[in-house]
Amino acid sequence: MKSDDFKAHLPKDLDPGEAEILEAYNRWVHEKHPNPKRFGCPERETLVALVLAETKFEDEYTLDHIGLCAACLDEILEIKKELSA
Amino acid sequence: MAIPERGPQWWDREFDDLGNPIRADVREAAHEIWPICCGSVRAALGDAAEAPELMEAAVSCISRHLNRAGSLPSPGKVRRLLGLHFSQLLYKRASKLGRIQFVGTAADLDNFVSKSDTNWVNGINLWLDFEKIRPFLSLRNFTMFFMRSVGHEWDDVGKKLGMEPAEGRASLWRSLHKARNIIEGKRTTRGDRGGSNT
Repeated sequence: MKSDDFKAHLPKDLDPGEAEILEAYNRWVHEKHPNPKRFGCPERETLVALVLAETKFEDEYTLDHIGLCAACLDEILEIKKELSA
Repeated sequence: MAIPERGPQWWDREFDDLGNPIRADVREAAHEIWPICCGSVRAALGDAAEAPELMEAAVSCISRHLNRAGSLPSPGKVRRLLGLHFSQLLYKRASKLGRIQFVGTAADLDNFVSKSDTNWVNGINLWLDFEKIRPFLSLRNFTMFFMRSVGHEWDDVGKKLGMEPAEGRASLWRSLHKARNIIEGKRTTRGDRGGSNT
């Protein structure tokens, strides 16, 4: 994802320096964990449920998986875009 | 007729000091990233005088590495590898010269380096730092990075992870500081366990 595209998704309550760290994370996860074949990825419905969750999300496997999966990151951004359209 | 302004040039050669052939794809990548690399050297060292030596070393090293690996990477990957290694060499050099004072102020530096060059350097260096701190971060830390990256504010992150927003935020920053302290060889003064997989 391009830097400018990435920054457009960041939350409003960023701490100083956090944007740079998140950008580094974004680049790193796409380089090191692109997962194009979607090994171990949760179903799309699960990711939608995570986006919409207003209470504790109990699926620990998904929570652990997504942090190291660029494919899930991109899919969640797509989902958020669809939901806000 | 005006003489075109020329910056420093690196020695683009077919063989390294040991007589090993230097790969054409690496040499080509070096030409592509050269202007940016010069900018990063200016930003770190004050001028680009050392850029050629750093680039020649980076080109030799990456060429040998790719030959050993026997791989045929894409041009983009060659550029990234070369850029990252160049940045590593530059950081080593800057650290070695750490006591040298920059001439002029930060405002003077702006005249030498364009903003985009500076951003590129910062981006590369942050990437390298991230790779270093990664072993000291927990899966939950990465989940938080993920959630923040897709735009969740701390209130949302807290709800989804079943914790107070302030607790999650403090936990992430504590882990980052702790990881940073570890890689910088410093001991934390507090005995917190912020990096635990909570």
